[in-house]
Amino acid sequence: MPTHTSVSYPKAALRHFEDATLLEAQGRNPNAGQLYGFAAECGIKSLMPFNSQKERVDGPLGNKHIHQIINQLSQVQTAYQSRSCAHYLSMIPNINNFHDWDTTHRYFDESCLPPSLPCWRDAAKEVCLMLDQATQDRMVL
Amino acid sequence: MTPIVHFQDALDYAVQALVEEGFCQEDPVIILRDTKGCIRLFVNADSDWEKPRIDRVRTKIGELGGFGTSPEQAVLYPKDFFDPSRVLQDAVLMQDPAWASPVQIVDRQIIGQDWLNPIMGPSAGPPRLVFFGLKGGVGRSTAMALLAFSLAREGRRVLLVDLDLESPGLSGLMLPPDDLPDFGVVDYLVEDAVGQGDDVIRRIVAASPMATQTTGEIRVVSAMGIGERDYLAKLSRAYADVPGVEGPISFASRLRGLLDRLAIQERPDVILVDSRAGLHDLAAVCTVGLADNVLLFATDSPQSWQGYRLLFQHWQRHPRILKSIRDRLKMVQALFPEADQAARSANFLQNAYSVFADTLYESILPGEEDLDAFHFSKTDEAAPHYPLRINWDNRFQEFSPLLLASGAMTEDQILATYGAFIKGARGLVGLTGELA
Repeated sequence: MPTHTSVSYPKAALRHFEDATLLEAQGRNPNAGQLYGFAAECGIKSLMPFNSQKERVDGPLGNKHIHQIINQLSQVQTAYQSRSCAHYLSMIPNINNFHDWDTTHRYFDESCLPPSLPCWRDAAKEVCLMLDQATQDRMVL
Repeated sequence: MTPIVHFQDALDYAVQALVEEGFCQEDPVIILRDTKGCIRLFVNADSDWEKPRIDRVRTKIGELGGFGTSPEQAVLYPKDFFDPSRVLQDAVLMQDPAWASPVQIVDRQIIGQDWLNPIMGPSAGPPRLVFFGLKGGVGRSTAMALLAFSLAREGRRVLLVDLDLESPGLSGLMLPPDDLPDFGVVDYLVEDAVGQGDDVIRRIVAASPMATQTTGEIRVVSAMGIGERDYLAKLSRAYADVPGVEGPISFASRLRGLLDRLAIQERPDVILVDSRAGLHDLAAVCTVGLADNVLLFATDSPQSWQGYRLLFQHWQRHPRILKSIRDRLKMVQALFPEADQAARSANFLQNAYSVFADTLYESILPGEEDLDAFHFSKTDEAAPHYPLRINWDNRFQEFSPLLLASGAMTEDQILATYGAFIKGARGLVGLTGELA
């Protein structure tokens, strides 16, 4: 289990995306897809409000993955002035691309995976660019 | 005890720290000022580049208290970003008379970014003249109505756009309640955000009966539609950025898009825009982001000059913006009193000149002549500071187009009060010659 202070969602997001692109370049698409999903998850969680570091890891969203949190993006709004929030959300128009992503894909035969890797990559890239903006704004939590 | 550093001083200290270490605008060092005003550096190089000098600046940023950042977090490098090239894209050159050198800065703001987001060059369609004032109640809407009427009498097709969304009044002045269009600008903005703008854009415009007796036409884009009952709920959502194919579409871009589409749809000869008053985001978009020319309404009051000075000082710090906007401005002296006109006119002119000369004009040495410098004499009538005047006339304080239609207001009265203004405004939109 991670300790509460060891979690850095922003750094994890960029690391997962970078590794995903390396895997994809090598044709290792199933695990690349998994990492695109984790990158997006970490990027979104970077902007979500948590009452404490403990809740950040152990709270109701702590163990949820991207396909489970895309319907809870409105929570981002509770943390910030709404116009900033609207700007951030406008930067990730394709986040619903992860509707068919799942952590259980790691058990799948490759031929049974959805052919969604480019869509997941595009959506994860949008999240990372949003994270850059939030980093400059010092809005990442 | 360490003295507290306030917002207004923090950036000066950071610039001074860079200058003392010998950094200049050509170095890969950018100041990041975040949405709270806290300062960090972005160094577009490896983390060991000029490390001793960077570390000394890092320490000084740590000393800025609430507007600083702890030394260990005070410097960001490309590795801290997904796409560091975008930080570079957002950086602008900023200067201040108090600084020894300009700096590159990314100045992240919650609102107000549009004061620094100008259209570059004239718009492609018909000329766009924006009516702006720091305060309401100076007769902007009436001046716009009478200019539109004058142009319609010449056979022009005039499009009036009410973008004073927080205090909409133009459509009420120009359109009887029963003639309001089905929808208004706020409807377009909320519908466009969900891809339904096309359905309403033809239904946000109505013809003003003010032009009925003329050979031209006055079309009015209303802030709201007929039977409006949820205006605030729409207004509170209207300013949002929306997703686009190539990234977010800003509110400013959306309004530019609206005007572009209206220009094609309505084919006007001139577009007149009623801006929101004051130093507000919507005013920023209207003046900086939409206008070919901006009429700056003012009365000779300390509040007016203080407000314009604050705005101009903001532009003064950003050379690129300054050069883009300053030759589009024209002062309007509104409510020019009947009594003691010579002295009052001189006072207004002196105050306007002082504000422009201190902030927007380039200074040249006495006796020198630089034809390329953006510099004007106080008495140069073509200069941005030299005002178009609108005389005070009690008959226009409760102006209604019905007064024109009924003959209760005459052409001579309009010309006596608004003639100079109309002539000057016509010149700004490229029309010359005698008034019709």
